[in-house]
Amino acid sequence: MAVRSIHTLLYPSAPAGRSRRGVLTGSARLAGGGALALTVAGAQLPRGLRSALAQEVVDVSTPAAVLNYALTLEHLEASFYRDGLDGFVEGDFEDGVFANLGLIRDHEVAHVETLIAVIGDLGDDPVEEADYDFGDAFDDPEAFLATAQTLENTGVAAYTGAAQFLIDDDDLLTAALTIHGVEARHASYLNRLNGASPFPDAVDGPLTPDQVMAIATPFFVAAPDGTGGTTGTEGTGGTGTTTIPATGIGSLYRSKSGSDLPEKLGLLGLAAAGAAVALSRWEGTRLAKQQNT
Amino acid sequence: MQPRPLHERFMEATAEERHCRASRRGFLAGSARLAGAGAVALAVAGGTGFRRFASAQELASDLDVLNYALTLEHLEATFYRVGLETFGPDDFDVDVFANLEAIRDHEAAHVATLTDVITQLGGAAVEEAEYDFGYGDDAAAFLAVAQALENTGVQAYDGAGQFLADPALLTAAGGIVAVEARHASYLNDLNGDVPFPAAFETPLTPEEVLEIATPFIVQ
Repeated sequence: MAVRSIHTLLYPSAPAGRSRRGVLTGSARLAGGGALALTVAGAQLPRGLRSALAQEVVDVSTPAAVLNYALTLEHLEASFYRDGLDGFVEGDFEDGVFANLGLIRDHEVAHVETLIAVIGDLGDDPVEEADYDFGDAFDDPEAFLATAQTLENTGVAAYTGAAQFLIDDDDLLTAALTIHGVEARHASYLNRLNGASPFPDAVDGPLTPDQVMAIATPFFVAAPDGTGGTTGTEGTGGTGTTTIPATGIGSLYRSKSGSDLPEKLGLLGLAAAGAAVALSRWEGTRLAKQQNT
Repeated sequence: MQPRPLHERFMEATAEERHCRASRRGFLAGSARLAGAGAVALAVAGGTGFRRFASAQELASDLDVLNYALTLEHLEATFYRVGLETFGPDDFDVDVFANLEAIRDHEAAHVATLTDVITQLGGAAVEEAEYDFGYGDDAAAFLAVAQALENTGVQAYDGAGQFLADPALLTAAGGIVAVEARHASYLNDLNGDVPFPAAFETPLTPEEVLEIATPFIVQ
């Protein structure tokens, strides 16, 4: 089973440093669906998305790989707000909302810049921004807010799930947590804007990288007509939406830990009672060290 | 190339945004004002629970971290439980009371869960103390204290996460701190502040959290 960065899994022929708005695809369905955001908050995925889980394993074997996983999501968010807000004006939203969305954009850009710098310091190559397709989110303020809600809640859950991979590096872990909290603040705000509870559960549910991939995949588009696809050594470089082959990567965790941690973590998303159950079962779940092993 | 300490870099990145957020000192000052001089004076003699876990900055084991978190969760849970007995829906804007109830329930769930886990680990869970939040019958002051508590909670968890050794516990703590951040965002907004004042949270050491929380703890 191959291990690659989530970025290359989602976008095998990612061109360098360019961003293009893609054509409308099925992601519009996701973008408009408050239901998805709710499922994200509950750390549960519809069966349709589960079937899209990746065959290949998201690389979280080193701190730089984990940060690249985070950077992949931050690129997605930063691009969304940067390009999306260009097309809106203050009057498209209720009072104060446009300004707050601008703040969120600035935060995501700051996350991208910081992660790029840190990954570089660690001696690794930061992933580049890809091409994304946010459906009708850039045309309709309501769709924009719904997609923002999905992205932010997914981001929170991704960080919650990935923090454990940085457990051996105190500084990186703390740094990731300082981003995580801000994503949660964004998510709270956007939930409310979308008419949902800002804090639907007593404990936020984590998402595994494969679950995050399943959610993020529809937002990624392959390089059109092969342009920028010449470096796609592992991917198709073709047209159309990148297809993530099926079968789960839960075995990533099992193969390393021999535990049923993912199942337990999944329970954390099921409100307070579920969280208590999950926590009460923490014993015996010892992941193998994620680095230097 | 030797990587620079991450905190250094992150702090640099946030430096220019800090002017727009309430500083740690600001929170402290605000809390102290709200808690009132009497509470502050009492706190000099109190806060022993915090001192045990915080002043030495010894979060040497997962149990220490969990009890540190539980100490804060007790503070929050009591704050909302008592406060929402004091105030009613009419004391706040529409929908606010229901959201405060949800927050109250979350904090109670955090207390119950942390207590369970600590017990299962063979530890002695810290108990609820006596607190003086100083808001009297002022609903606006209540919301201001809530804001201070929630933001401090985020900072405390962010600072303490690194002391956890068990990945499952870290994930659970991550799930809790995210909810605290959601609360903080909401309460910032309610109090007329920016819900997300900076691109990065500022983690606090146990000692710094002690400094903020002590005025609330009577016994």
